[in-house]
Amino acid sequence: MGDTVGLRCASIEIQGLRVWFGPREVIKGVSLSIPSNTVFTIMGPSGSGKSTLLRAINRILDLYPEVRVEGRVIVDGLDIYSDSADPSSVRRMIGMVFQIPNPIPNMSIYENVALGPKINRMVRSKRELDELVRWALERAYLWDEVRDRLDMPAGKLSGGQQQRLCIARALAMRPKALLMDEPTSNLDPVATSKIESLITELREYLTVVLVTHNPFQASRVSDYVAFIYDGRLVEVGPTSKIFTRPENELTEKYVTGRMVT
Amino acid sequence: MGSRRLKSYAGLFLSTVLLILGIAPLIHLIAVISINGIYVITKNFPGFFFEERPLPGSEEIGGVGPYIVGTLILTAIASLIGIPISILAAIYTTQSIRSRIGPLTSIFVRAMIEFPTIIIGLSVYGVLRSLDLALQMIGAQSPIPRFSALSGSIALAIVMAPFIYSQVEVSLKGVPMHLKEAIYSLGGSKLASSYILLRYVKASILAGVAIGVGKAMGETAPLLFTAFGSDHYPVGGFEALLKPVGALTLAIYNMALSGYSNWVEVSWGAAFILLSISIALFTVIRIITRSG
Repeated sequence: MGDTVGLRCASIEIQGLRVWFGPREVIKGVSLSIPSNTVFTIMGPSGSGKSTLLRAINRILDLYPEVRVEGRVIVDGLDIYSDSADPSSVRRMIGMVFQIPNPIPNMSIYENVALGPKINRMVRSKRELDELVRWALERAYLWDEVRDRLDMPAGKLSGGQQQRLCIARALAMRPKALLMDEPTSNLDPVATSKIESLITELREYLTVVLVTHNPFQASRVSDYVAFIYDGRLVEVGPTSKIFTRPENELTEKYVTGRMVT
Repeated sequence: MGSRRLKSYAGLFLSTVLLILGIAPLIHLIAVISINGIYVITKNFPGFFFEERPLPGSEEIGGVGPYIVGTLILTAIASLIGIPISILAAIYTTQSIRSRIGPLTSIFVRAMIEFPTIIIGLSVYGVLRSLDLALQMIGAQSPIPRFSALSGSIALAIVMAPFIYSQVEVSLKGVPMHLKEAIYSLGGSKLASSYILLRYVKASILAGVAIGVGKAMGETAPLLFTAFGSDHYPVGGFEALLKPVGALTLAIYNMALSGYSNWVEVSWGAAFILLSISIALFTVIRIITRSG
């Protein structure tokens, strides 16, 4: 299986997005343009709404009964909140990795990676599935560590390995984009560095949208950075510009660590 | 310090007394049924498990074979109807988070747990009787006779469904959000995602099924107007399901009140068999929930 077989990138356009949790407005009219084949970081302090914004991009917010969404999110020309869009196919197209590594604990390493392709009937034979699982684990730099124990329960892996397993699980779906919600916030520096190098490689065949509260991580891995504060977009631009010549005072305070939240 | 210790002892004493008061009736029940039941069964062992009811007032003990078979048939068919319906309903209510029907179903099913089961039997009887009358007017016959194994199974399915539904609903709602997000982010259909969630909580669901089946197996009231009771083995394949059928609970109820000493003895034996099945089910539940 070739490196980029089946992987096509998506550009994402967010227009006037507003999200409410019950009566509380969490995202207050955000518009963003995310080019394909980039690592696009949404950065902001805790509680600024960045995770909610990310969850709006693959409609995983639908799982929360109290949530209401307004505005448009266009992925490769498809408005994912239009009546004709099916939430399941949106999620097939846009993979997701979460803050807490969340492999399904009662399933093996192999089953976790194979789950997506299996439930979406992406493969026709066991051999094809084996190849896809291996391919995804290789892309997530986990294959060499787990090749001899694929039947082991996923819950027994270390935190960093579990997170790379979750990345492999998302990649096995051959998504066009990958959403990552603070994927290293629960990991040690070594595991963090492995995942960061992986993120920079992923952009070759994916559009990566990364959420982080850590400006240093944003500066290390991303091409573009959007700074979110209190549910509003404060500033967006190429990483070098945001970190060297920010236009907004709030952005400058945040990237220099002088913001009191 | 002294007064605190005194209070502690007083509390311990009180809870021990309450514990003994609480479990004494249960132990008494199990002991009396076991002693009397085993005594009767050993009088005609192993014939008690497969012979038919003895002549009233005779010296014979006979057996409860037809009632065991009847209970198994009724419970099996009720499970075939009740288990899938209740699991699917629970999936629907937990999945359709924005629907108004979901919460209403939940409230209604929870209320059904409290329904007197005799009312459920009577309702099934009433519906089948009305169906019969309506069909008679056009010269047809009801496919399900109101006194039959099938009608009894329908009543038992209605009895068991709310128990299974509640357990499955609670289990599915209790899955941590980060796992739900992981499963749904894979883009499977609602049904496929629910299947994975069900696998995750399978121990709890099996426990729910065992509780429901145990409940149905031990019911008498809903069978009075439906299965009606029979003292003979059901014969003749599917046809047998359209005829009245016996059950252990009905046999206990009828024979214990009969006044014939040998029938009263048979009811002790039947009660012991039913109790053993219940305890076996309870043990299975404990093992499943612990291993899960």
